[in-house]
Amino acid sequence: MMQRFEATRALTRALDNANARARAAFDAIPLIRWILPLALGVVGALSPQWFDTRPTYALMVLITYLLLRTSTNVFGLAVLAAMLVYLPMEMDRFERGILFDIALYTMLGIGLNIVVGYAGLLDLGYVAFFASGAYIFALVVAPEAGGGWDIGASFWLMIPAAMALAAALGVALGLPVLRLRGDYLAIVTLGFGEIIRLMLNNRDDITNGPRGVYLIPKAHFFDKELTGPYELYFLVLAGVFIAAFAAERIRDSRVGRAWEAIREDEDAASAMGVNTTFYKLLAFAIGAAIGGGGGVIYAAKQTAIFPRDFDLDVSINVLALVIIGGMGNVRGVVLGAMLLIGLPEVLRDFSIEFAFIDLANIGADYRLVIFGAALVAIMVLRPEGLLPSRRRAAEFEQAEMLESELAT
Amino acid sequence: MEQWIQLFIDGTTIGGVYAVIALGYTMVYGVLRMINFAHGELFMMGAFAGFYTLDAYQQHSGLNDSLPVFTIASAIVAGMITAVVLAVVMERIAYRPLRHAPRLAPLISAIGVSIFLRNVMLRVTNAEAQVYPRVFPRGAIEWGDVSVSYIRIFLLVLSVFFLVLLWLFIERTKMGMSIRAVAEDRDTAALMGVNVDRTIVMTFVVGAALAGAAGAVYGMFVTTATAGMGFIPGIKAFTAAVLGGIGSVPGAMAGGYFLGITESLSTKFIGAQYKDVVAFVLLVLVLIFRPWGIFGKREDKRA
Repeated sequence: MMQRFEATRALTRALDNANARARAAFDAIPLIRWILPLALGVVGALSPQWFDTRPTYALMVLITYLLLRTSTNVFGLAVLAAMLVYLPMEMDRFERGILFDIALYTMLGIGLNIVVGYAGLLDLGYVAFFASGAYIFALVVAPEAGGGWDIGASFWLMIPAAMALAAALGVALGLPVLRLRGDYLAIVTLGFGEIIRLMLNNRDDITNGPRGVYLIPKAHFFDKELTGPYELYFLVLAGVFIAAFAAERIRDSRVGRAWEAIREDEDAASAMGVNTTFYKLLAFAIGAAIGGGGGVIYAAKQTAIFPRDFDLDVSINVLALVIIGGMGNVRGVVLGAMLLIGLPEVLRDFSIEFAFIDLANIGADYRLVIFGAALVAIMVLRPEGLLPSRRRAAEFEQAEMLESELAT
Repeated sequence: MEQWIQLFIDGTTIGGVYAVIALGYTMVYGVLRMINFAHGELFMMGAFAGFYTLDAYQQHSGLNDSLPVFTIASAIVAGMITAVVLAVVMERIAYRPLRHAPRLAPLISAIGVSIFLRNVMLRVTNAEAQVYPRVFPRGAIEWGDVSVSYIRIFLLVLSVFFLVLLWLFIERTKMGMSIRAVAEDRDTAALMGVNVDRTIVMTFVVGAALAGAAGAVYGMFVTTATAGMGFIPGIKAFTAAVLGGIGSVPGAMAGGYFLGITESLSTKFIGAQYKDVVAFVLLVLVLIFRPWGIFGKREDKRA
């Protein structure tokens, strides 16, 4: 009996060793963190047969490089800002679309990070707020022919209005689930997200059902019409910077410390006089408001939205990018958005044609297969995320040390 | 009255499928406190294994027997084996290294596995629905206005058979006892000499076998297999597991039937397009008011 398990045990040990070695290599050699992305960037930018979306790829790599440097200096920020403005001018429509999506998901990630990363409330139904922002805006401005109500309101007025309504929805959904913790909270929020989508789909009398809302009018910035992803990209970029700035400031305030206390130990926080109800609802409200704002911009860009745009995949993508990037950290969210949203798109153009190997469509055909495997690999190698906040990383290390002490 | 009986029988059929899948969720949650998001994909892979088996029969020897018992059985077994092999591999690669990681890491890793499997099958099938060969004789048992097709009867009987089998396994075998012990308290179980790793793998094996069998039978029932078919039954089965109190084996069985019957009744009285809404509203209400499940016992120390 024992001998039969010897072989499996040896294999298990070998796998564990390999895993530990890979993890150590990633951590120990800082060069990997920036030489590798830079080298990839040069190769990618110079080899058109590998990537057709070269500007996007170059931009992704550049931002990654700047993010992975531990200290961001003024020079780095200036280069980043210049690239964020200059590179889109060089891009075609498809690439600008990718860039828009990356920026939009960064914004959503920052919002969800407040709920999950700061306050520690696992939300699997974040799409509900994104959808409500998009639908509130679309229904109010779209003409009756497009399934809207034709009330006619300005895009700029609707952004704060939709954010406020999304925040109210966040509080309304947050109230009944205050008592729930951990996985239970995750499941209830998942249920809420699906209920919202199904209601958008089924109540055709209000939302025009599966036919969606279309003919959403273009937004104007003074006299300039904001048409495609290019113009709206700058709007999302502004949204990202405002959200990131606000999130970082709130994190370092009294409110942020209250969230941290709740995240670490809710009972202890409550005993110390933290009003847990208020601060949890506040986290839901702020996260929801950012999601709602993102929804308005999304609807303005799409000019037609459908209930099926707001399925569980959106929530899962946003949550995955927050966790892959490293929770509780805006830099991590940016990196996560680039990897999760940008990479599958850039991979579309990836092909290997080398000597007798011809895998011309490997990227287009297998990008989501690669994506799924990459999610698993990143989690196994770096369960705390690629760029965890310093505090998180410390907590994680401590927990691991405790674990190994207990084991011996 | 006859209409009620019809709705009740229809609900019990689909409820049996939910119950069989729900057991995998609830058992894995019991031992690992983890939601196995890829469980619905095991169900899907089981359906494909069943399809390829039947397809092979059809191409080589034909399915012309009046009741191809052996053919059907081998399709189900193929579904079970495929799901079990995949479950063991995914546990080893994607879940075991993360057993002591932050709670969200295994969740994301499970989502990764689910995306991977779904897209592999999308490539393999070229995103086309695969149509099952017809193995069941058409026709139904009529009783007044109530009509129950043969495949429904088969589904009903088979789900009950699997539930009884699992019940015996959990309650009467030594491995079942280890699973219960690890679910109760992993560290104490380890101190008592239970091989925790092996027990966890065994939990995945049993859950996957049930999901794979359910997939193959469900495929025969709906007569198609698609790469996305695991999602909705997966979510529904998960709801069933929660309804019965997640972590509880009899709860998952009862929850499955309860959800199936509720859905069937709601198609009649609320409208078919609200079927899924009813399931999710039920899920949310139960979690808010009775987080320990409709049928579960109250446990105060539940994090």
